[in-house]
Amino acid sequence: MSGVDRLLRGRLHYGWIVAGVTFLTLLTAAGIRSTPGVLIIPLEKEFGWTRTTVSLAVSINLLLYGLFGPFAAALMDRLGVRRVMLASLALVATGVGLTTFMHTPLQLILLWGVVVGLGTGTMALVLGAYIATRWFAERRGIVMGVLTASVATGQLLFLPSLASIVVVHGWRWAVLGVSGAALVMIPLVFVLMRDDPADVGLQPYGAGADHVAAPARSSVNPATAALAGLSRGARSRDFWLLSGSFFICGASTNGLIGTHLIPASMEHGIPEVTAATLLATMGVFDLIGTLASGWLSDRVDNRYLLCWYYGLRGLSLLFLPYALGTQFLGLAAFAVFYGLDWVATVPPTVRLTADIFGKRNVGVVFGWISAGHQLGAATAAFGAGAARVWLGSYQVAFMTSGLLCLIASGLVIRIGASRGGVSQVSPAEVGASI
Amino acid sequence: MRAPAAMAHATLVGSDPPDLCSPVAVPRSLPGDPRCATGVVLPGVPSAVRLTFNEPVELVGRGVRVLAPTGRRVDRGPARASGSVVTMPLDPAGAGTYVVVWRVIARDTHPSQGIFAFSVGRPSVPAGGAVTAASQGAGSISGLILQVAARALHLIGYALSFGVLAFRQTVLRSLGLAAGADVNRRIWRLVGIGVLALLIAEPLALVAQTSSLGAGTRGPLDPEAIGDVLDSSFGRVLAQRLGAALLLWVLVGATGTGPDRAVGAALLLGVAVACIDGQAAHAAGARPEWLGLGLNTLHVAAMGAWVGGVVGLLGVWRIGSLAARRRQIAVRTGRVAIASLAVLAGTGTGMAAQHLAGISSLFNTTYGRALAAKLGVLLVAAALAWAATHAPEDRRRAWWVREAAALLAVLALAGLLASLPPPV
Repeated sequence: MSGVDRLLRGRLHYGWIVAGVTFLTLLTAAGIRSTPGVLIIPLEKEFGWTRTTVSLAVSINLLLYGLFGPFAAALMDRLGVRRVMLASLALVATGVGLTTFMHTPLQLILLWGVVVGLGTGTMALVLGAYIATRWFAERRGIVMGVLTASVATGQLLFLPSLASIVVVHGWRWAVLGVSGAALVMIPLVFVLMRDDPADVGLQPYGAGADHVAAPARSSVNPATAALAGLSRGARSRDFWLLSGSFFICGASTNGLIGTHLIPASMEHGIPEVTAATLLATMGVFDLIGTLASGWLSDRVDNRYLLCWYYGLRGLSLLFLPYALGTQFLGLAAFAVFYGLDWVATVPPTVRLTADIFGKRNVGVVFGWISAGHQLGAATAAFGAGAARVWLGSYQVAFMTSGLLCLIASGLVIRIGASRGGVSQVSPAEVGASI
Repeated sequence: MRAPAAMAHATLVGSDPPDLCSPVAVPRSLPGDPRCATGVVLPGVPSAVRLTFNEPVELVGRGVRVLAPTGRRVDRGPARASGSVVTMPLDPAGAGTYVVVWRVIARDTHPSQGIFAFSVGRPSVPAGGAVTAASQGAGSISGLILQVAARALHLIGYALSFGVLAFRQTVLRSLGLAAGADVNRRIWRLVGIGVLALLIAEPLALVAQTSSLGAGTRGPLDPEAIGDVLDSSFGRVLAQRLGAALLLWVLVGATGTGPDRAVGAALLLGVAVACIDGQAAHAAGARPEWLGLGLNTLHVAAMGAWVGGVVGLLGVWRIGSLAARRRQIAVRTGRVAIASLAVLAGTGTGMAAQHLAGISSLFNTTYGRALAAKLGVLLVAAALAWAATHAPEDRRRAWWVREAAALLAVLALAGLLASLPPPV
């Protein structure tokens, strides 16, 4: 049945409802993961904890969230998407809610670090890719794009609201609000979510009559599949260049700016809500930037795109200490520039991974490259916090990050050099390994 | 050997309590003056220490540390620097001799440091040993040598990378010789060495800075000193220079698929680096500032073009496939060198006018004498270049090697010049 037929009959394909629920879930999870940024200074003030301690908790959160990624897809194959989503949402809601009662740093690390990190690990890009592949044979690109946008934008868009709740009512109400959002999603997922189109008697959206359904439950050990992908990648020089640059990408986005820009701005006299609005503005520009990047990556050599993105990002970071001194205009320019670049690196990196490793292997290999991204984020979140405590300001952290981005720029331009260039494989080619 | 106080750029011209060790502050005091070791004797602990400098300064780290007779730190809170006056509030402590250690950098990131004492009630032996005039500027000589080495290495790296690229564009490309594989291999190897030199020069400059700020620290590699320096305006300029070297490395990687556009971008980067250098040079303090920075940028760029030209020429001279075109390459390189010499002379005279008080300064100040030496060696280099044009073709290479050696000496003297305080 074509989409037009379905619309003419007045019925929407259930896949769109599933995609909608996934969109809301990813948005919620992203919002939860962005909360630590507004909590750093209130927690320091109330409990007297150091920046290093709070940064450690954020760092563990980012690390577990990333490392879980390659295994999450296999887990969804084994247990079913609906069950995994319900369990994760419940785990996250409980963990976040319990933080209102905490009073020692260890509890912070256990709850925000371990529990929330693992809980949100399944509600990441991998879930979006899973749903897009299972439920859609056509329009996968748009669905994947919208779901990616929800992950990236969700990290930034809720910050002003969270910040104003923190300022007016206190951090505990902000945390309860976030926990409540996760709780609201549970009945929604319970009622509306389904694992597979076959569960509602449908084929994937746009599938032809000859479509062969994937097995509902897989028997492959998730750990083995994930580790096999890692060993395949590790033998390739380009894998390390991509992982290294993506490590730096994570360090400079989630790790450094996502976690520490609000405290850094507050130390320069900028109110918390203004700083949060700055990040939210980055979220808006990030949407534009990612869409433009996706469009560009179909037309231009992806290595040049990445080279430009990392180069501009590095220069913005070197400029940031000056921008924080000039208060508003410099910071606004930084926010626009940085926002356009925030997730823009993902489409070209995915594209390059597909070109180099073949479409069949993209899932697991990119899963590991993304794990590198989160490893970088974890390192930067902790490192910047420790540097701030040791030195008294963020200047060194911003400068180091900027220089790392320039190194990433030099790394990506050298991808494919050992094989005499990267050929542009079109997405239609399946299983083509170079 | 005691370093003269003139080595530091920002000098302490007055303080409260007064510094009895500094000949600038108290003209009649002599080194070894017993009043220097314990300073003035005050009836009570002052509420704050106030330091006045001859120019606006920025603090390095906490800026000022004051040690009580027991060795405990009694400076309270961050020091305040407004213009050329630095104020540090003090906590009260007992009677005895207190020691004040200060570290600042001038607007052009040149470091200054000093140490003096004052007593409350009665003198005593200060914690950490006696403060004498000899400990003024302690560590400055090694710091100066490191500064000179770091700046000279930066200039060498600049010439080997940007200068050689300029040689490729202005000489080789205009002769249609830029495409050959062996030519490119040598050119890119020279550029790579230049990038490496640029990168190594920065950690060296960092250690030079901490070494020059050595008073009261545990040596140049003291982590606290390194952290303080990185956090200052010097740290920002350091990051910019490292960033520029990394950008050049990126552009080198991009040349595989489109050399000429990448090389053009690299040359623009070269001009930007020359501009950044002006921030950390005396140009930053010159008036008007835009003229000083402009002259400095042109001066550095012209230096790069000449030195890079000579190095590039030596690099490609022995390539067999170019044997027939040698004369043309040499002639064009010569033209670039003459143009560079003209720019160097013009900008150099302009900068000398900005920084020297008069012709006599050339002979009776350290800065002037270094400048005169640099001018002399430059003339030697020009003479060697002229001699090469009149030498037989198989002997030219030896003359160019001598010219390159003379230019290397000029770069070392340029490093020295940038590290010394100008008379104006």
